[in-house]
Amino acid sequence: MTVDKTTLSSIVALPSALAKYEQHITVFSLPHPSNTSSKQRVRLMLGSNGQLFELRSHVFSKSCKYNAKSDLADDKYHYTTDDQPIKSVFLTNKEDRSDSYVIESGCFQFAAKYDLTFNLIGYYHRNSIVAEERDYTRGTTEPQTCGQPAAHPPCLTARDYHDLLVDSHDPAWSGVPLETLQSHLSNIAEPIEEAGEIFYKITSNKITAYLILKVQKILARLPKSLPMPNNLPQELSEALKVVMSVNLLISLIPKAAYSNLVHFSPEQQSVDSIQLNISKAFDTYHNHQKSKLISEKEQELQLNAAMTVGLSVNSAKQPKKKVVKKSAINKKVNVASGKGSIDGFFKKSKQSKI
Amino acid sequence: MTEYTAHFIPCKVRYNGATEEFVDNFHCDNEDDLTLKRKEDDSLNGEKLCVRHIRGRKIVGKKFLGSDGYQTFLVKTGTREGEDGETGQISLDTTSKIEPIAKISSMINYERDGNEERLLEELEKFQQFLDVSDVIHS
Repeated sequence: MTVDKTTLSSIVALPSALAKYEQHITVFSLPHPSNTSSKQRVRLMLGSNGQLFELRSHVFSKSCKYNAKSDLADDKYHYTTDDQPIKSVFLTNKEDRSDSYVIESGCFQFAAKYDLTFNLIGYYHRNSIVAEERDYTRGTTEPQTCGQPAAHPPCLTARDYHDLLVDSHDPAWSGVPLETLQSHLSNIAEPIEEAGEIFYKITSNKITAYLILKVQKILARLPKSLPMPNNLPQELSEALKVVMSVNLLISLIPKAAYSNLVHFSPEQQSVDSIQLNISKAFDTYHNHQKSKLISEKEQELQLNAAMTVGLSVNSAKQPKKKVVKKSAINKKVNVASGKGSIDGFFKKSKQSKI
Repeated sequence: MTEYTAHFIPCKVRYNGATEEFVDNFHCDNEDDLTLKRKEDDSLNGEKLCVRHIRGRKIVGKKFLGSDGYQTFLVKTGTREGEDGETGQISLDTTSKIEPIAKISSMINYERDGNEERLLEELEKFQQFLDVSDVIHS
């Protein structure tokens, strides 16, 4: 099969669970699980065994938005006049070099595993909406204060949940098979078996417990490129790792779920015998940040004091008086000549002509 | 299904479509190639790099997404009549279908000679992203 010259093409990398469908793969989209209004819907594909994959885009030679300012200052990346990264694609056929193509865009797409539970959490906290990710760490993060809690059905079967999601959340939920929904519901819902049927009730505690398990997994495999200071005490270093792991979930969960997670303490809430004290880790981190800020201010004051050492205390405060220099006026006494009787005495002597 | 190699080159080519430019150009300098017999083991920190030239300028590249169980395809995303397909992005709002039209045997990302550090840094960060995404969604 050769590439049709009249169509546009895109490069898509698929995992083996999807790659066997060489005919066609259906892509559908759901609202972003974080309920962040600035984020686009997630594009999903269904693989074998009901496993879901997210279709993501990537382009090299482009700064990520978190480092955009520093990269701009370092002159690390350059863009075209229409702000596109300087990247294009050549497609070469090793067997026949004349059968080659050029694609202007350097963007490619790839499918990555996707956990639908995040979308169910997003539905549970559907009233917790923020404009941008930075709003998570700004202002109040007290639990249960991030938007009015949404009304939730007491207990529903997986089929009823499926209908509810299609009717009241997004019609695209119809693309999710019932078995897939059921397996993800059981992650965050209390199952109640009655009359041979299983009913599910999503609870805030189960959501927090599930997210803590995610945090523990991330903690064990934290990315190497995250900036981690080397000279921190052990306790603070561990707290910072927990904070970073929790914050990595910001891009996937609503603010209300994040707030509950940040304030989780095993001493106050008993959730499935979890021992990870996230609340304490955040407190340790914030106290360190505060003491760092205070010590920086103290250093600044000490530096100012060192700069003014040797000067009297009052001299620094009293404004300097302006010294007005008075220029000495030479008053020449002009003597009227040629009028008095002794004028001859002051007259210049005439040089004798020889 | 025809197999292609995708080269992500560090320059912008304002063209989409077929070309015969690569019959005598853009050959790999350090591989057993049909046309060029020159062998050169370009490497950086033990990483074997692929070396090619565009208009006399040396570029170095490294393969990615080759050993993670991924299989790459060239897919049809739309016709040229529709402007939406210009970015190569598959439509977000409506249900759409990916239709593979060719296989991509390998993908190589390139940077200009002297910029290898950025090449390796970008590929490493991309791999770290895949790893952490796998941890979160497993």
